[in-house]
Amino acid sequence: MGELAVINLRQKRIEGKCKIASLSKAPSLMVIAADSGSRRGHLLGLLQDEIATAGSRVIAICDAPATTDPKSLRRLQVEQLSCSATCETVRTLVRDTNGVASILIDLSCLARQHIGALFAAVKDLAKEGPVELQIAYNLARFVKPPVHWSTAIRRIAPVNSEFAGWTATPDNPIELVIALGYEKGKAIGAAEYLEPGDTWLFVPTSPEEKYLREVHAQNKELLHERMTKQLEYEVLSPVDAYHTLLSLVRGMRNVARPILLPFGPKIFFGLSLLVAMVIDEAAVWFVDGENTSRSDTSQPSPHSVIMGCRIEPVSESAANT
Amino acid sequence: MNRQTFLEPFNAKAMSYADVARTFVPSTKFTQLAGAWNSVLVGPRGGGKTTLFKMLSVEGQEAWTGAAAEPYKKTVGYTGIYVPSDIAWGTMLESLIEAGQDETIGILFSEAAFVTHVLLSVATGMDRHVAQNPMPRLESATGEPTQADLERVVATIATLWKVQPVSLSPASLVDALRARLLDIKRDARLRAKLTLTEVPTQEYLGIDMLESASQALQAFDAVYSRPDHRWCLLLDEFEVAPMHLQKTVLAAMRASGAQKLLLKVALAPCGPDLLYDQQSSTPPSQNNDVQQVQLWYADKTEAIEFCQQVFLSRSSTYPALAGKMPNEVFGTSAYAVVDDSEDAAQIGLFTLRGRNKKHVTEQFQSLAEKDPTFQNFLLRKQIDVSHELGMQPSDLHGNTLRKIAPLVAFRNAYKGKSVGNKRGVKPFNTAYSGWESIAAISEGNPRWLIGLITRIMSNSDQGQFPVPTPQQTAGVQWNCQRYAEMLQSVANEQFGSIKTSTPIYNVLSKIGDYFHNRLVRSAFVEDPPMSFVVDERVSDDVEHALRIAVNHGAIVCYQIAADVGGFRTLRGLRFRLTYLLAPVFKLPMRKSKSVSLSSILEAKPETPVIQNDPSANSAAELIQGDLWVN
Repeated sequence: MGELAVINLRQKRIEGKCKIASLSKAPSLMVIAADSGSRRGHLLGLLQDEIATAGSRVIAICDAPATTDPKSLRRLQVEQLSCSATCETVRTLVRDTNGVASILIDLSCLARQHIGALFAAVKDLAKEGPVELQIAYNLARFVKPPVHWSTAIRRIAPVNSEFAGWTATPDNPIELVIALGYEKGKAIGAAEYLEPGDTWLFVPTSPEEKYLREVHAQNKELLHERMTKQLEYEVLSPVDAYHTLLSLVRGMRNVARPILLPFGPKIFFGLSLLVAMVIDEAAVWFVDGENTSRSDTSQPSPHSVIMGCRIEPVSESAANT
Repeated sequence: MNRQTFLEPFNAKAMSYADVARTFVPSTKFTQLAGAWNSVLVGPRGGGKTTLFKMLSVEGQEAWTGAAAEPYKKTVGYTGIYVPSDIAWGTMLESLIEAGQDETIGILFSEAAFVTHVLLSVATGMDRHVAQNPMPRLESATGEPTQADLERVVATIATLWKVQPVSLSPASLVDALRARLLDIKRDARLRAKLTLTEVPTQEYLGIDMLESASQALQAFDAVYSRPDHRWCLLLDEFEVAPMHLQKTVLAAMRASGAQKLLLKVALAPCGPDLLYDQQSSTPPSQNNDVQQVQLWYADKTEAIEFCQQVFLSRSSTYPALAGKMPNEVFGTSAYAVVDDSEDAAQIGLFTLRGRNKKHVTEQFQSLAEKDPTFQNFLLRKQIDVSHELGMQPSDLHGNTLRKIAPLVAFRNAYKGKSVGNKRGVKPFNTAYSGWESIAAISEGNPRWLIGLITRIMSNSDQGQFPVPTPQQTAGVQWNCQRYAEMLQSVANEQFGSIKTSTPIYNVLSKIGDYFHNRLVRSAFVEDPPMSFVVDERVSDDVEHALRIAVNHGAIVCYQIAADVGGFRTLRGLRFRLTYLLAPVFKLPMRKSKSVSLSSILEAKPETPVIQNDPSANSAAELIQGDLWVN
């Protein structure tokens, strides 16, 4: 197992546009995606009062150094920083009087590579002491998938070296866990590329029912072939999804090298990274060249969720129990 | 028959040795590879390299039983140690380099991890031998080696490998090496985190892979009083190994004379550039130093025979297929494959009896009605299609008609009534049914063949033979589309040095669409191009995209790779699209003349090409991709 423990998981489901509070006390840092787009600022808008009262720092990650802040970000006093600068901020986050660092990451519109980098930074931070991590996610309104997906895939690879996984048994076969999205052919293509010994599928369900129908349509063959090795997860119940995933990966780590390939809703990408923090053998892969944060033009649905957890070194976790 | 997909077809990596051995069909490739010599096995992903290596390992040899196995097993004069690798292991090794520390130091840790992995396989091989040949605890009158002797040698090996096993047994060596792998990751991370700059002092860094394995095996064999015994490292997917180790191993293959440790490595056809750079100073030659085996067939008969053996090796376990030959199960198609041969079977398909006779003539007549260029061709050749057509060699124009019949069928199926238009019709699938077609589409690749057959049989009523054409074509199309989807997900970067901004599938699509347009929309010709030469005008970016395509088996080279380890460059070489893509791009499977790739890439999409390409040639060198040409 890894050096970290993820404990005290809880979640809060949010419906509508009423102002809300986060799960625990206000985080000292909130990270969102930069650029305009109503879904990017949706959760920040809901948490605005708490953030303002607590004086939390809010950073929007942008791909290139920002020249001017969009009006919406200026109004909410959001700094724009590059991904690496944001990660450095996370690594050096000041802890409270109890020695706990707190951070909230809105995954809704962040690029997967940025999420991977942020979680690597959180991992580093957690090795030094406990971190209260909250991950927030707003479900996008359903839009039909494009007829033609971009074929400009640069590479299929671990999201970064921190989540490349490791093994003392390189001779074990690969077992693949794919969380499905609605990109036709991407899941089966990636699976074929990795030549796994076995493959498990996670199918997202949510109030946006059309999305599920599209996921089924675009992955029809794969779902048919893996009928006995598929699990549904509720996008808005991340705690359950985390436990299901953790349990599956924990079971396979002794006989295989687990690789997680989370397409679809980004909340599952975050959950996969959390599982890989706990299980060193697990790798989290992504397809580089997918939509970047800048290209995400999705609209917010009224459905959101915040999941909280405490990440701490295993030694501390053992001492506390 | 079990339902099987591209996700769980014949994936030897995840199969037990017993399962691989149960249905193993030895080919001439196996014979070329198996002997007691150094060899390089070159083939695309999924081409069967792992199967061959697993079957050369001691575990595979033991699992392979029966009278048919014995002659082959006698030729293997060594104990094979299988060293698995895959893309995921490669990325783990890379992660040690990318972790943020100095790259040179990162490479050291990465190499140490790979060396440990190899030693782990060696130790496992020793452990297996000891388990099967236990030593007595006490000395006997005959002076046989004892447990104490074994312990002494394990202690020697532990010193050599810089490990501290908890007990003096090979099993303990295995455990210690596994623990070392965890240490390597931890140490590399720690260095990166602490941003250490001094030279690392870990003992496991810099251990010579081949020397340490060879010396350990020498010491081990000495205990068993078999100093002449030979071992062979079977390094699968070796392209994922750190570059320095790849260079070292390829250089070591030059060694002549009796070797304690033979080397066999499996590589993708297009390796990293750096590999060839290194070789250019003292490259091992295929002829003198290394036996290079390429996993594709130049000889049609040999490949079909191999496909038939693969079919029979598996069909016997399925009641519906037991005792049947593949021709009985899938029948034959007159439109399957075209070549210039006088093959009796193919001629027989055009004997113009019954339905075939009427159908073929109708195809000619129908195309002549709507295609002025075909009319011109017929006029020029003085062929009258108003009468029944004779296609025997003795008939007037018999050879020409037989040769163009499949082209006419394709063109007629896809050509609209107005000039230059295409019809929106359902695919012309007859070409992709029948045993010859299925074998052709598989390219002699067992995994593809098994995937095709399994899908077809899972869709069909297993009592009806030959399996009806719609079921066959549905199964074929399904596999071909899955393969195309996989290619659409192929990354634009491999091995660090093969990088392209050109999506691989885009290039393949341009090539496939071009050939289809030449076949259907351009003026009718007897021999439209279906192959291409990578010419000098093609950019490096596209050439790199094609290298990745070669590594995935998407294009097949007609020439043999001159360099050890595969193709140093693709320029000047002639290729065709794999027949697994023929149904996707609606192409016939045939040998044909070539066209320069630059002219394909520069052709405007959907523009009919009226003239024959001036750069077209009919190169007829010794060709590796000539699967279906005698």
